[in-house]
Amino acid sequence: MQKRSATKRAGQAAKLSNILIILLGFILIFVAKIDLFAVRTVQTSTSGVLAPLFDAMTAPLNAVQTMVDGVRTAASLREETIRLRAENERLKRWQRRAEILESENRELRTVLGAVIPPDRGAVTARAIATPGNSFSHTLLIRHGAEKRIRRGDPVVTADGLVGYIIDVGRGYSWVLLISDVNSRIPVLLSSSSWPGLAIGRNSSELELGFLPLQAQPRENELVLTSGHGDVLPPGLPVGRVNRGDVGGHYTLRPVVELQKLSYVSILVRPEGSVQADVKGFDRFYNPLPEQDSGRLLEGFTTKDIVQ
Amino acid sequence: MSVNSPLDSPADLRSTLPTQILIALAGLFLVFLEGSLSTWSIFYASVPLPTIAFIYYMRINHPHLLSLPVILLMGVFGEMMFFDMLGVRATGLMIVALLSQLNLSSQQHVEFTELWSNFCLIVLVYILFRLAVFFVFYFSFPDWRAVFFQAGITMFLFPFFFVIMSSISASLSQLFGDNSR
Repeated sequence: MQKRSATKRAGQAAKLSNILIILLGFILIFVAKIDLFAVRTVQTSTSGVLAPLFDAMTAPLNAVQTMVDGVRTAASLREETIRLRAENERLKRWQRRAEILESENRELRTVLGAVIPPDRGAVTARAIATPGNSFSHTLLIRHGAEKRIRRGDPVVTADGLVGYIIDVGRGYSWVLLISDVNSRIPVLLSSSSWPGLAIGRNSSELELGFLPLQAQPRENELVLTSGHGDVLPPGLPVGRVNRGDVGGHYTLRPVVELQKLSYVSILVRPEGSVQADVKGFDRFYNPLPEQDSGRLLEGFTTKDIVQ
Repeated sequence: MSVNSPLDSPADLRSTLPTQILIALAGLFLVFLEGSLSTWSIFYASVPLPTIAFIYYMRINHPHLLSLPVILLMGVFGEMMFFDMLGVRATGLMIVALLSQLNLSSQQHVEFTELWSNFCLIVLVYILFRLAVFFVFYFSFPDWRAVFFQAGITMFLFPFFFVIMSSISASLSQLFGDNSR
């Protein structure tokens, strides 16, 4: 009899502990959502310690991937040569065109007196891993504070913007990819200069939101960072407008193939430069001069805005 | 004469604690493996989930060797490593563990196809749980194709995971004697 009641008590205790531990899981979710500084610090330091282990572990898997790529390339060598020749020809044409445009641009800048943004240095880093699921689009990369990488630094490839740094460890950093649901990039349409936001959706496409009503993005139009907020430099390609958008709802496909990242460049600020503090709104706030004719990017006059 | 000192009691040579620690390490290794697979472009954002297969197998065959705190640790470890939202993966994995234990006695003696179908159901519950939490926090859904590709590839690869884990389990039983049950 006593033995049976003891077994029953043990069973109840086990059930209670199971419930408590599941509750702990839910509490963790809410603590994470509050975004406590302490939690973030623990997360950064823990993953900073474990990242080298992970780095070592990805090496053989990367080797397998390289081998598979090598075999695939060898199998399609002839087609690849033809394709590369055609691409080379096209690139030569683009190069000539770029040289002409560059000289024209230089001339225009001297006329307009445009301010060239302060130069940034580039740090090349190896992409180590992503979470491997659709619920979080981040990227762990080699190099951190040791290479002057700081939060907010843009991460790019030769094709365009990949994302920006959200946390920095000593030797490793974490990048929030432009496709993540938390990512909001201020952008401009390349041909019409209408401003908008490239919003991540945790999918292969981005949403082009907050466009003025007058804006009519064209299919395949390039979308660039606008530099608003002084966090990302202007002019970095983000994506191209998709075909078939209706009802003022536009999507972008990123110019960078995010699933094929092996190396990325981080655009670090020069030593001694002050990083933009997006929370310090006062630095950016200037009262608008009340003019009837002064037209803003959004299509309003400054008087409309003041009213 | 009464036995009072701990030194007088015999050593617990049949303790399962070392095995539990080794299994916890294996679980953490699998979390690493999951992340490493994401470097393959084919699996980007849709890595198969060997951790779920591992938890399912262990909770059916050796339930007392893989406790819920270890599963919590595996989940939190993955979240820390990959900047995933804290607690979601861990809670999802614990739900998987609890679901795996339903009808435990009958599951130990069923055909493989039934085990496979139960596993598919558990994977779906895990994915739906993650989708639900994502929706609550962001009022949107991630890319459906990637989510269902991940679920599908995990279900498809279950026999592969199962054979590997059965082989490892059988080899270890032969080497050290089966004192895990």
